[in-house]
Amino acid sequence: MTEILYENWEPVIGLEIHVQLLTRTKLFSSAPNRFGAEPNTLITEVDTGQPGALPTLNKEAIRLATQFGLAIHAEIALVSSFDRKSYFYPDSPRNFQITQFHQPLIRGGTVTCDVEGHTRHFAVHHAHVEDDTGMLKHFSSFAGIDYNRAGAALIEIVSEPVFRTPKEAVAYAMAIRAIMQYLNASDCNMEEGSLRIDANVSVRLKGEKILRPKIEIKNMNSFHNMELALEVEIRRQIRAYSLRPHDPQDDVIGKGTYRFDPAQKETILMRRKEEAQDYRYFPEPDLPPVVLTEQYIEALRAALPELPHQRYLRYIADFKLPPASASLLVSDKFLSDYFEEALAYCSRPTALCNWLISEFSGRLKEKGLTLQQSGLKSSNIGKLVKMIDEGTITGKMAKLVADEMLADPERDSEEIVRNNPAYRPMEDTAALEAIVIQVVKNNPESIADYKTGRTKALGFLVGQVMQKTEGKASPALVNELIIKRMRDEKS
Amino acid sequence: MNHSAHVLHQLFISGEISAAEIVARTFARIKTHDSKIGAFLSLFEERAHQKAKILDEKRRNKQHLGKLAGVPIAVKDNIHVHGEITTCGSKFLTNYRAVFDSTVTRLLEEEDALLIGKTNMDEFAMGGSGTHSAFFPTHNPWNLSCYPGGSSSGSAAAVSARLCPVSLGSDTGGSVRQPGALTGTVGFKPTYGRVSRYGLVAFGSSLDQIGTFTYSVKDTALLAEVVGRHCEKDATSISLPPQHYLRDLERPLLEWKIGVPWSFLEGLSSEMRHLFDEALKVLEGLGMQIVPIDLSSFKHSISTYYILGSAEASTNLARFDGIRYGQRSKRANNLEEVYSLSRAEGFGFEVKKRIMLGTFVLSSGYQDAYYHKAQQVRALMIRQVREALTQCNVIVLPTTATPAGIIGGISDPLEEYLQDLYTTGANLAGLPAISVPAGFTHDKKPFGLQIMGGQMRDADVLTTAHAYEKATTFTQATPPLFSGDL
Amino acid sequence: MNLSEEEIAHLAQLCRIDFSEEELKLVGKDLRNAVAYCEEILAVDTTGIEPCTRVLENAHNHLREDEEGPTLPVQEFLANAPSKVGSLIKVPPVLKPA
Repeated sequence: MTEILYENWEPVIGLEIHVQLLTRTKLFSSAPNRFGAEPNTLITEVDTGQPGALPTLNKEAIRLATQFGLAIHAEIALVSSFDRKSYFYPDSPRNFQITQFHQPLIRGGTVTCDVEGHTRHFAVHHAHVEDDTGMLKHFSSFAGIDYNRAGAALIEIVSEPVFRTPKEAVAYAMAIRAIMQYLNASDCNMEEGSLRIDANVSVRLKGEKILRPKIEIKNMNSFHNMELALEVEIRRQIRAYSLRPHDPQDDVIGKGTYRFDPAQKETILMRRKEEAQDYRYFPEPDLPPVVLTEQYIEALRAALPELPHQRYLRYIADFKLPPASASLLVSDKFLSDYFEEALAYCSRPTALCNWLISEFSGRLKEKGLTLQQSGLKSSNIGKLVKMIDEGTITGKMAKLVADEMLADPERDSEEIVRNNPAYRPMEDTAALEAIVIQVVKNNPESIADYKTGRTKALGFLVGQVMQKTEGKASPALVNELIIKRMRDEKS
Repeated sequence: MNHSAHVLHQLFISGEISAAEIVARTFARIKTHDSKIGAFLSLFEERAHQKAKILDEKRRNKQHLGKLAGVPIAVKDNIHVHGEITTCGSKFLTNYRAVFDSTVTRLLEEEDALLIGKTNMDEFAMGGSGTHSAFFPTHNPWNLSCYPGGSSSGSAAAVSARLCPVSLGSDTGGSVRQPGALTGTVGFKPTYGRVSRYGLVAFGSSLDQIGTFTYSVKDTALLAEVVGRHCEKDATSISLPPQHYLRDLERPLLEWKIGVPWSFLEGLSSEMRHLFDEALKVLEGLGMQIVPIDLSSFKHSISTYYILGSAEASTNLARFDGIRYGQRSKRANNLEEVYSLSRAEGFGFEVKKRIMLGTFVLSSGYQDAYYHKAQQVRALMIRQVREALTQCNVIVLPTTATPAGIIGGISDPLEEYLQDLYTTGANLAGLPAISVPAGFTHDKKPFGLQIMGGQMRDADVLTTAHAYEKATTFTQATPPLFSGDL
Repeated sequence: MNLSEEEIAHLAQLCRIDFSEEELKLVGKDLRNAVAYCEEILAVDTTGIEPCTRVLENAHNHLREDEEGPTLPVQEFLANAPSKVGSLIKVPPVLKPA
């Protein structure tokens, strides 16, 4: 029984990410670029490859792609051009795709993101613009083709094979998605296919310099599945090499395209690549080169909005958010915009952040809703945190208020509190003092501890009082009363 | 019905002849003569009659009439007219109905032209004889046992036999100029990008241009003004404003220099050389000076053209797969067979050959040697002709090395390719070029003189052709077999 | 440079054209002759010559505004279709990717 020493191996992962650009029309035609319409209603002669049709390049697609290139500090080619990539497939209207092979628009570049608390920089090889295919619908005895998507503007981002763990790859992919969202360049919806990730995966022994044969995993439809798929595939390859240490590498890991089965939790071979596809790339004669000026590029650079990593740094510097929380917030533009809106109503960013990414997030998950879908107003969450800050309600009570907010998202959180006296903290100071006296009396060790400088003891005492008041006392007030009592005791 | 377009237009405007009568007479002559020629694949009788009615009405009401009002025009069957069948001379597209108008036919109709039908052609514009149509061959009106040239065979023959005064063709390696020369008509190819390719079924995208056949250079100039404009839908379309060819037609040519690439013409038969020399004498008589120029790189025209043209064509024709339109094979049992059987059944042999050649020169391992090399040679040719044009206003040479041959007489396919030797250069360099009738061989076959200019110097080409035409009578000659009822 | 029978057959597959044995021989012969003729350009001295990708001097940037235009009506699109189901183009079953 061969023991498999997984730790002797390192994965080598590269990602090819296709992002559908948020343009009104398609890349080479004026057909509307929309999801979900009746089949074959968003087409022109160009998108269906009619004889005599000619492509014309969408200005906005170039602008969005260029902005993306600037966002990743890539080199923007002043001259880029298109090529024909030939292959026969029914979802291709012309049996050649118009892409950028020889002179892509974007070269190099770096994606900066947070991976488990560390800031990492991942190298991009290049990014280019190309047109999307139509969609095949498979039935038992035939297939149907819908060309609505054919011709949609895509940007394909090809990384260097720099990822050494699935988490790195996922962090990079999430960072790409965030950048696209912040640029309003794409809605990056993995379910709808506006963000598609293909991974090239190989493994090698640690210290090995060469690259071993790689396989491709396609159609991973969520970041969670992507991480799983990569983990599973890495282990598969390591096992394969370990069980067949003397066979040629090409035999052990044959080139092929795999898909991930989330139910079986395994990668499954879709097709072998018997021979490299001969795409016969050559310059597209129907489109002149794209020539950009320095002014154009600088104007776009100046117009760049705040990008995810910049926002991440700002949240840490200005709001003192812990890096992990900041990272989580900025990874979704909707969420971080929401956070900033809510911040207008309260003054403790860390608290607000926790309420969003922990308390509310948990409740929403239970209900199967996203924050966007819930209908919860940012102002209401902001006001909830404000009420805690001001001592209007306690943290414990706030949780109950949160539950109510979720049940009735339209309601104003301050109104919820006003209407329910049970949420308000204990106002009877005398009763509270009595409890404080009792707790202090019953815990002389804690007082002794506190007097020797152990401030934790104070927290313990506060906790005891909070227990006795069923969380209705204001912790700040309790704190104050306990300290005062201990001083009084002394004297 | 021997009127040129501009004369016919005037006769219509003045009320001397109605549009209805023009259309009636046109179709009558077509029905009488076309069975012998095989120029037309389809006729737009209903459409033309309707348009004629509207034109006559407009004239009665003294409304504005376009520059081509009353002029019947035939259209090569690789140029779309929305709603009408476009076959490209191929079985593959037997019942294919165009889903949009080509820019060119739209412009013509906006100027009130009468589109009368679609003309026969070598399949997908591949061929130089008119014998590669999937339907039937076209015959040369000057000698019915001879071919008219191609690929715009029907358009050339229709104008040659005076079935209509103007027709549209397409020229990728000489497919307008060569049949123009062989049928004694004026065949013109504009500067690449001057006329929109939107709606022209593509063969060689960097070589194709829509051209015209007429029997009067003035008509050619008129048409060139109407269709020679920027098109939003064609990204290779030139952005410059339309030019004034008619206004510039009568410019004096005194001291203009004609470049003649003598070394390139070695190998011409003595008869053809003689006809060419005679044509040069006429030009000298107009005050032009002959200067020798070096176009030695043009001897690589055929190789370069066949490599680049086939490469582009192999991808342009990939869309014909039986999936979205066209004839799908009834024998196909699976997807791969839909492709391979539909294409096997739909394409003629010549087309298949060119697709194979094009795929070969682009394929991995060969692309650098063939395609890439051909692009470099193309650049070399462009450089050389630009240099030559600094020494002359226009370049002059025969359109073809040989006159029309017998249908079926070409046994060696390479021989047919070599017919393009003098014409492919203009496509490779994107230059405007025209063939004007310039005499006859001893056996009464038309001879064409080719005039070529620099990019965007279409006016110079037309002016020279016009002057030559006025100094000779060749353009007025009509084929004896079809002259009786003119 | 002589194209072998395998290479010709491979090209036919790349082109997705089904040739009978006889036709394949014929097209192979013509193809070899055409290639042999075209090989003459291999001897041309093109040192330092940039390949020509644009025939027009200064051609660049024909960019289109991102505004919706008229679409091809689905009925007109389907009218030319050899086979359809509903408003989808119908083809024999395709190797399903997932």
